[in-house]
Amino acid sequence: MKNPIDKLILNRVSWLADCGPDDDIAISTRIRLARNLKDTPFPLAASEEVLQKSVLAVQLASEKSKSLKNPFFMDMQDLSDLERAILFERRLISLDFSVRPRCSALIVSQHEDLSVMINEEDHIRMQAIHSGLQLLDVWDRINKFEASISDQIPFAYDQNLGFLTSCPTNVGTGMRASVMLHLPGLALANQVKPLIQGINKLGLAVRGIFGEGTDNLGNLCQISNQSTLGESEVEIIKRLEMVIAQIINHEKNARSKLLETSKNLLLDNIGRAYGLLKFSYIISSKEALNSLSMLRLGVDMGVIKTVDIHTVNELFILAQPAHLQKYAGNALSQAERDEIRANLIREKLKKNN
Amino acid sequence: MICDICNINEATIHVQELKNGKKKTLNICPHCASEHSLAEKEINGFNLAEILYNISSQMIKNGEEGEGGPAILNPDFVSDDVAHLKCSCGWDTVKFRETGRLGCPECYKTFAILLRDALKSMHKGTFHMGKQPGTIVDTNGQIATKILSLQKELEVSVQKEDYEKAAELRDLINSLRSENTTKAATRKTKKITTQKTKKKNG
Ligand SMILES: [Zn+2]
Ligand SMILES: [Zn+2]
Repeated sequence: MKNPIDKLILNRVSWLADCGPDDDIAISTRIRLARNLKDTPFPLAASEEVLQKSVLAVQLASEKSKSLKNPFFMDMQDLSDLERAILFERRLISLDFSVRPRCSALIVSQHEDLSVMINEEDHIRMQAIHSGLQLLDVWDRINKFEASISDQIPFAYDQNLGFLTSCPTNVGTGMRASVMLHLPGLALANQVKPLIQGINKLGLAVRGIFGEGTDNLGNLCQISNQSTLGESEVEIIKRLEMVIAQIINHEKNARSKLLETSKNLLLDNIGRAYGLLKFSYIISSKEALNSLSMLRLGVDMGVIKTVDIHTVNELFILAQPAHLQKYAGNALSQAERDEIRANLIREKLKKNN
Repeated sequence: MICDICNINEATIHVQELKNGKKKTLNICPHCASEHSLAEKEINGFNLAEILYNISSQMIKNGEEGEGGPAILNPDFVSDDVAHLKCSCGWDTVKFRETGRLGCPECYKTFAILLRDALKSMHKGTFHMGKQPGTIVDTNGQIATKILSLQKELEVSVQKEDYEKAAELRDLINSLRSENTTKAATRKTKKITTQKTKKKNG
């Protein structure tokens, strides 16, 4: 059988390639549910035998599930470091899961919109991801999948505390719902910081998705619920949705205001970013992400008409280190990566014209 | 304790991490914490550290406040009865403190004393209000909303120690929940017949 990673990488990532509501600002919606097997130690405290048993139990249940047709099944120990890094960059697995492949496995649907990590921090971490802002649709998808396997696997559950998880921050619904937003307008208007503070006050978490430090690379951020106990899933989702809708409005206002008051500055930012991407021969990850963000803004606002939005979206993924090395076919030093990245971006933007 | 990042403000958040088997602690002020968008893997640990700090202040309530930072880092200040809890799975207070994680479902009972206040500060409430195993919660959220308002009442009556009313409400909630399950089942069969004509929106 052909390596599942090689098959996956040929796919366009569906949550980036499809159109979704509000997908000019909301890039994707993801919901993750954490579950554990009843009367079984959590992975952190479990023996290898227990871990292997839970992989098998989840695999069998998924095979019977009607919500998951012909998925890829990957034993994490069979994969190389690079292959695991690719899965991480495609947001199919967590960083932790990618560096600690002890008796763990991954199940991925054909279009990557549904995946299950087995033996991460919890026995089961299932996620559904769609493009745009579609919280209720994504919830419907993961909810049905969860129900389809819960017929076969008894979960660790307590009448008062709900689904029991290894970390008490996830107990109850075990749900983390998050929306990835692209906010270049608010960033240009210097309004991101007050926004983040406001969101934190509402009990929601904000984080940049690519940058680890203080930089909010690519003007991308992810907003998610923090509390998992004391509210139903739908309540959590509706609260999140309300806040997201407001942020989208703020971003739209910021964009139209920029167009009104500093049109040339805006066009200059977009034009320079496009030029940089189109004609560079060496480009760092940071420079690429920030330029891609401006290009995306230009495409969204109709300033740049020759580039397809999905090409820009895809480049956000493809310009990351592991994808570049897979593209190049060998391991690369940082300097080599910056060259290959520039090549790839030039090629993709040329094809698009 | 001064913040490790800005070296100016008082550090109130203490992030613990295990690196190469060694415990490292990062002490930061709320300002720097919000400044630094913490990566995904750190988020849980971050919340947790804050909460563990609360636990620790709970622990030293009986003792004296001393030097050496929060009690969580200083076993001397942990009161005896909670310092030596041990679950049948092998997990103990030390492991819980080091990792912020529990070892098994039973641990929720074993470490209930430590968890009670922690859960309160982490979450909106202390009762599970979401789906139950093997049920499909109604996606539109009508029943969920009704259940939710009942559960809010339930929480109030528990606070008022009106356990009679609480029991009544719990029964009502459970019956709504089972109604929800049967509704989901009938909707499921209905959906199959209409699936062919249904078009994907967007
Ligand atoms: Zn500071
Ligand atoms: Zn235990």
